[in-house]
Amino acid sequence: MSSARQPMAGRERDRGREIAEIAALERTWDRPRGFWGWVISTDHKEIGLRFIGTAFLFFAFSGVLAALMRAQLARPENTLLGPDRYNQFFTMHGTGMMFFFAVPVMEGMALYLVPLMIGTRNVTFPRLLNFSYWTFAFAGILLFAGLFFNMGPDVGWFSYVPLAGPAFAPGHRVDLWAQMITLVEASSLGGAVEIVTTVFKQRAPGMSLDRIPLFVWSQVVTSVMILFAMPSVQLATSLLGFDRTAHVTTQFFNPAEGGDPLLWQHLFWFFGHPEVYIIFLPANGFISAMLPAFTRRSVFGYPALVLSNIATGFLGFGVWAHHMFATPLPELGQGLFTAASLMITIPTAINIFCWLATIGTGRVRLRLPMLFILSFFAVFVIGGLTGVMLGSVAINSQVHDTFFVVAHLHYVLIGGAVFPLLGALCFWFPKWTGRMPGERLGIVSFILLFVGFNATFFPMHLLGLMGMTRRVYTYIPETGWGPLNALATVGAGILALGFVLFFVNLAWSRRNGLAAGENPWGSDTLEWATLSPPPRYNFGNPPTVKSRDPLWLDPDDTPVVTGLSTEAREVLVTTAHDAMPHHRLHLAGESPWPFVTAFLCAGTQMGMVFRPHAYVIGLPLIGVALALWFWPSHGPAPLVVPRAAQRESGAPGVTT
Amino acid sequence: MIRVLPGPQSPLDPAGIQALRIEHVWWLFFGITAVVYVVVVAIMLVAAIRRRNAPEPLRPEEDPERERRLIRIVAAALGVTVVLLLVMLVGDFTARRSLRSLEPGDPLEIQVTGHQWWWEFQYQDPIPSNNVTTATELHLPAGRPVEFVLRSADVIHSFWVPNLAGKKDLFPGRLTRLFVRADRVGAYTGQCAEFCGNQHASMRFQVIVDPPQRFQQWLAAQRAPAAAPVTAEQRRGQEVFLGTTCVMCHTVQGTPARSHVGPDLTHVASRQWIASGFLPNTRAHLAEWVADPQRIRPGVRMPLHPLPPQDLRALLEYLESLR
Amino acid sequence: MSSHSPEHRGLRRLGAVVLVLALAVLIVIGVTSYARETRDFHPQAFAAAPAAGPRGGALHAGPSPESTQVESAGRPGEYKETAQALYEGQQLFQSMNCAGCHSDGGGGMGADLMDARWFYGHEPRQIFDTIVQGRQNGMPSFGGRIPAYQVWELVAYVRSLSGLVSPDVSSGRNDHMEVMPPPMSLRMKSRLMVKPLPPVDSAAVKGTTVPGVAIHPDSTGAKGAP
Repeated sequence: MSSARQPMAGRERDRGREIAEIAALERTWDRPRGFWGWVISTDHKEIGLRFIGTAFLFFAFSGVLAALMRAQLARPENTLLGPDRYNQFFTMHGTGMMFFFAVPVMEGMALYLVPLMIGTRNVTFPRLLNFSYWTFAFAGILLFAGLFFNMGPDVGWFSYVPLAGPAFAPGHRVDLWAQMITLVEASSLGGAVEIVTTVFKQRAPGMSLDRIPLFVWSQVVTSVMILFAMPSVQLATSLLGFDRTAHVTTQFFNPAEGGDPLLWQHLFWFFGHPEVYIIFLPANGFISAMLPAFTRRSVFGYPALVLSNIATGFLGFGVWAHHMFATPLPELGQGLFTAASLMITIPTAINIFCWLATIGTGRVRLRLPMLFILSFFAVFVIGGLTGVMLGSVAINSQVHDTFFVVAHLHYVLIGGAVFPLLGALCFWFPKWTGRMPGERLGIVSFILLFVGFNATFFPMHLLGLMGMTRRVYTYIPETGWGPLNALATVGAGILALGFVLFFVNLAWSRRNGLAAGENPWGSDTLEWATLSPPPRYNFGNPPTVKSRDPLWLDPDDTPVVTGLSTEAREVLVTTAHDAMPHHRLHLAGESPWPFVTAFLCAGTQMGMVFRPHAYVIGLPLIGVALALWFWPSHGPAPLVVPRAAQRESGAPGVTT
Repeated sequence: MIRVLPGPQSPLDPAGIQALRIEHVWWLFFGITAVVYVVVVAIMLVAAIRRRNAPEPLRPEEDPERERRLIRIVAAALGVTVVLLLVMLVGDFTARRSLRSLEPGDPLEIQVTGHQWWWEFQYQDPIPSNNVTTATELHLPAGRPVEFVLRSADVIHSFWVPNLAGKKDLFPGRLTRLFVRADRVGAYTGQCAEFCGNQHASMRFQVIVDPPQRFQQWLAAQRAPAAAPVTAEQRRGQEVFLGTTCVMCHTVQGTPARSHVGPDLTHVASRQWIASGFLPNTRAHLAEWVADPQRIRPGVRMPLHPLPPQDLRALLEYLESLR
Repeated sequence: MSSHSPEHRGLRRLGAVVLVLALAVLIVIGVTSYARETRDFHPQAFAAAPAAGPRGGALHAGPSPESTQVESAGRPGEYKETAQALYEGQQLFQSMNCAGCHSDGGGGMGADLMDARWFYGHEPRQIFDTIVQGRQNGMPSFGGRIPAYQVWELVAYVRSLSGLVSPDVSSGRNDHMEVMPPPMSLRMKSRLMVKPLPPVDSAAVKGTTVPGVAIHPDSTGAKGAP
């Protein structure tokens, strides 16, 4: 371990000067105190954790809705929830989990970890970070609030027209859904821009493309996918909003006027299927990041894993029509989509084989996060294989829109994303809190989660093969679906208990966990090269790297970056390919305007639910707020340091 | 042959040639994926447990010989994966080709219209007056190819009889087609598979596959206009039917009731299910349904129309006479 | 960047005010939309009362002889301007073939329902009577054929055609060919026109007295629903 990366550890320097520098960094990177300071924070760690926390809040909401749905389906002809409420619940469950939990929580993990893993002080556009968080929070709060005001959308998370169109979905339930989805995807886009720019321009010197940690690679691919997928759904929801809004009443999806309901499905699934990989790839990154710590070797097949991630990113955009095999699509086209859907198995298979090779040749330590990784194999592989079945047009025509698909997607998303995510929460918990997660209660919660999950969702495969269709609020006893549904409901109870215990354990460990020390899992990546929790400026002297596993392989005398100003928020910009130092970038500081802009955007979108005039009033206001946001500041530190000053303080760059 | 999950609504219990071909693909895929799963999980368990908590070595990948061996193993596994995927792809394409070749030139044409939330079936005949319209109950001749012409009256529905064939969407603004040949006599269940609103859950229908002879008899019976009321009670019932809300939505051939908003009731008493396949057709259920449909299927289009008890009794008497 | 500058204090206060105001607006919107979005599939008050027995005869143009009887039965149920009521009314308008005469509201054989002219009044109870009792020159009487709560739903939809109902509850358009300007675009115009429009030239119809049919000379009354 390189002591050079310990911010407080002086090498052969004047200790006093070191302390003064640290104090200056503390001062420079600190945000304003108080509530308002909290609101306008631009610290990637604070915002990242806030993303994660808020997303889990929506996860809890959506999970409660799921539990209520399971209670309704526990026995035939149950009358706990009527169709109206059930439809709102399943719509909000899907919407909440996909748009307000899965994507934001993965982005939160990325925003927290990526800058640390690549050894920089903050993301490139700190104010955009703040804007992303608040648009996400506003959209989620407004949409979930709709549920309490009888405005919960009730046409499914996919909102197929014409059912979601003006002719068949009365009131403003779907308007609320459409406008809030547009809003939340703006947040996802912001986060994706942050990750892409930060990774390509702010890596630690020496971290060339082939030394980027696998986790960071998967987040880059995810972010690029977001950049292409989210505009598609934003477009679709905007068109839907225009179709529905009085005085605007466009005809995009009205077949009588030359519009087409099929257009909606194409736009939606062009986003919808990549969405699955947007959720799965970060989880894939968690596994690649955690495995070295628990197998004591670096992950086997680095180039193969990187390339398969990128391949997934491309192929993910070529499979969307397998959600539409029952619609009137040309047969030849369906054949191509079948081939693409089977082909995308190949990169995933490469991942799995490489990880198995890593486990097989490493020295396995069965700690809590490792259990979640192993459960990933047991659960996700089922989901992946049923996914192969769904790629076949013939099989798809039978099991599409049945509980078989419900089982499949939960095996993929819970097994493939949530279990690794829970493992990742345990793994990086010491980074956030400085304390270890409790192992014993953690294992109990893990067992409950694993058993509860399989008891809930495995029977659904069978229910689907018994003909039980999705999105039904009840069924008659003659169908014979009763016993398996009862089993699934019991399983859901166990699963819920497992989740509660898991978070109780984390909450308990936050106070009472063992002190973690600097690198509790003996991991290999840079986020463990600083304090836990990290200071606001991340690294006293940002590190440089000489290998893929810097904490394992780099010698103790690896250089660090010096010469960055301690009086201004500066980061070192490096070249995209080789990460050679290029110039110093003066990051923007806190500003109230990103928050105000997010607030105005939320207000405008919310207003559009009711009146089209909202755009007329809202857009100019947003323009003003943006102008104030981007107003050039005359801060104390110039962007380009004069040569003389540079010489005095030491040029930015690498010194040993 | 042993059937897994047999039942009247099971894709794994085929009663028609299309479902049978699809079932073969299913078992091909199932067999391959099951083996793959067992192998992967076995390897994972062995790998995880074998050298558990062994003393920490230096970097094991610094053994280049073993790393090379690993590359070969992973490449081989990948090769097997690709081959298996190709087998499955060819299996799927072959099945679809054979499904396509099952589409004959001269099928029995049945027009299917999806309504929120019930199914309407119209048997086409060269002579238009011989067309037969029914709802909720579909009769098919065994062994004869049938072409369903699918259309939607409102939103997207999906026509699915698991025992006979895969599903096909009913798309507003487009016609879709589905070919089916039922081979095994029996009763099966169909259900709407695309979410279509409040009562999506109860949008079911009964499929009865008859021997050709019996099917022809049934069709002939359906062609006849409704039975005229015989008893005084039935006549009173008809008066209630024609004089209140019923007539605004339903058709009874041979009477002035000719509206197409709700199901055709000309031979309602001959059906096994009412309420779009949600209630067995018994007198008690019929009474329950007519008196208060919103309690049984909230949100359904049939209105509440409480009748005085004697009128309700008469109406039931009349409806039950419509065989 | 300092947190203590007066500029920041002002901003903080402004921010708090804006937040509180926004919250208040949200609560108001939420509470009002709760009522508008209510979906009651089972009108209890109505379900309790058995309807009258069957009426003889087929539908025919104009008020029927039983109109008086229907009127004496009063107007059971209540008029509701909820999203669900308007939606159901729209479905009924199409399925009960109102469109056969009134087109999609633009009129044809029947009166134009999208303009601001109301021959028999635009108050909900007046439209209710028009549907239940029928009117001269063709409008049949639907009394006893359509349950009262569905008549009220039709009333709500008919009113929305000429923009008398808030766009918060009415939908923007149908999934049909657009034969007319979208229903809501006449809202403002109709608001302006309802008052100044002189009473219908009822001289033409005055001579024809049919029991139970009242020509409401004051079709301009703009005050609230019954």
